[in-house]
Amino acid sequence: MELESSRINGTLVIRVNAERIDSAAAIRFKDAVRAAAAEGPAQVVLDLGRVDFVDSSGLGAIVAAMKFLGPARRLDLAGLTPEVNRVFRLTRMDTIFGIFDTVEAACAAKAVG
Amino acid sequence: MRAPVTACPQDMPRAPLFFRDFDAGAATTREVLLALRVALHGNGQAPDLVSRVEQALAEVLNNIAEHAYRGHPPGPVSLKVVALADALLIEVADHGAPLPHDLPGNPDLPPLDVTLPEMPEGGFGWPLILRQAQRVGYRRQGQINRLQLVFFG
Repeated sequence: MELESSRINGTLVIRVNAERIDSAAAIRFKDAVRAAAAEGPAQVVLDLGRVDFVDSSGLGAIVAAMKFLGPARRLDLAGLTPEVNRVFRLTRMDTIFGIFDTVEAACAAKAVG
Repeated sequence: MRAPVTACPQDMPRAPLFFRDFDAGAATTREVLLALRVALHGNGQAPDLVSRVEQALAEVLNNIAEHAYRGHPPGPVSLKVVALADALLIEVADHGAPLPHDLPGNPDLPPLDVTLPEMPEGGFGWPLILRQAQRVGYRRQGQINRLQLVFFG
């Protein structure tokens, strides 16, 4: 699972360079996010702009990433494709994560709040 | 919208649009879903329908690999997709353990009003299936599980 990390205004942005976070990829995704976010700012944005498919295993792995960050840090999601957005909506996980249209919007929201 | 679960699936009525026999597992599931996506788009099915089918079938096939064949080597799965006038009828058969009695009718999502460490990392599969298919039917036939899903366009 290829992830690309960058910093935007003090926020850690992790871009997922894969089209699927499915059961074949979920464990590697979880490990890669943990490695990428092991240290760093309290604000982490997961850029899902390239991801066109997330199944329940992938969803569980994203939840695991949020739990790994712990209560003092925060995981927001950005750039969800309509298909991925629907999974979050149908499982009500859209009520748990901050979901933003773009990485820039997610980082700006962090700067304010 | 939640799919009612019928007791007795219908016989598959005609030549399938897509047919695949494979061994259960994460890698084969991905490969079959991608092939199915291409076939459904090529057949002119609506993108939203194709996406719903892929999502629900991913959960069905993951369940077979992780639950029906739990503790066993990857067992066989047979997938058939038939195009009806206004819907897709899909049948998935496997030789694994039968579904628990309280499934496949249970659409409840895991509770989310919990503390961070208790936040659910699973339990979304059946709720997702029942929210994307309009009909779900299950039958245990000897040693075979037959699950049928109907998706309206």
